[in-house]
Amino acid sequence: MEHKLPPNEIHELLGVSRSTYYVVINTPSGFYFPASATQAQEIQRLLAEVKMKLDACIPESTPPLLGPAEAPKSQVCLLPVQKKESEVDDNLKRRFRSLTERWKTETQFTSTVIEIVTHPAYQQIIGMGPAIIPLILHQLAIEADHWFWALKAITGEDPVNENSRGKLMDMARAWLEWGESQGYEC
Amino acid sequence: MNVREDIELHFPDLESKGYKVVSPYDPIYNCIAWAAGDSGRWWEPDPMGIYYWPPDVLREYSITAYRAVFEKLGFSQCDSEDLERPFQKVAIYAKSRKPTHASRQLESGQWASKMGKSVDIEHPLQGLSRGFYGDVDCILRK
Repeated sequence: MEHKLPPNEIHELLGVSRSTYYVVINTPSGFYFPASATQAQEIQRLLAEVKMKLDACIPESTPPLLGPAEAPKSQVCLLPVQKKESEVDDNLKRRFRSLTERWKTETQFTSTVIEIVTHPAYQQIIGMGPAIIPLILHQLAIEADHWFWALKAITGEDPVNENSRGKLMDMARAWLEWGESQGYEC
Repeated sequence: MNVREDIELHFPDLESKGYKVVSPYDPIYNCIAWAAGDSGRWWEPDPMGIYYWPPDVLREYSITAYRAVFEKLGFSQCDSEDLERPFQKVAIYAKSRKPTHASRQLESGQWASKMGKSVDIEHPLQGLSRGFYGDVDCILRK
């Protein structure tokens, strides 16, 4: 049974727009994004914890629970979504590059996309959410590779027309045009 | 690690049986497209319908569906991997009953494979067996 709090519900809960901010959870072993059921449950737990702490020690007149900055003493923060590859946070870039390299190496002989996109590194990339769209589009502009599944999963969009199915160059072009129409620098 | 070392790591029988790399890395097409004679598209029965899959063929990862792709192209079951002119032959590999790969036979009797997103190689049919793609499940000819 699927139990998942979709990212847009998290944004709704926090009262911010998905296209403006993304949610990050920092942990001792690194940071991650609320994409899986486990992560969604974790953010709910952290939010409840933060709220309890705030309710207990801060007067009612304090600012909202979480704003566009790191929440005090919590591990949950909101960062602005960037549209340009050059403006994406360096930590995100490093993590994206590392996962991409691992994904490419470990799936180079895999013949089916279903196995390519269910590789753990690719799933972690999808889990990074809308924040990495500029990085994926940048990669796609350099080389047509199998980023379509991730883009569709993250955005819910599919700009590729029926005649272009399977033609990676055409599929890449359709996504890059979509990116430009959404204000991304491709 | 270079591509030959990578290949031999994934397919331990290839080095002793002999093979050659004939084209560079190219993620544009995959093995089943290549075996079907299409080097311009990636063929995939993905459930999200992102990729090309021949119309009227069951969109699923099964031997039945993969065989049906070639049957639509005029191929039918055969028992021998030997070169039988003028027949063209293709082989479908499987692992745990799931299709993993397809090769096509060349005029020389050797087999040609597109290795996922990576290179094209020429090899004996059994050179890929006991490796990353499992074993040959069936051979078809037309």
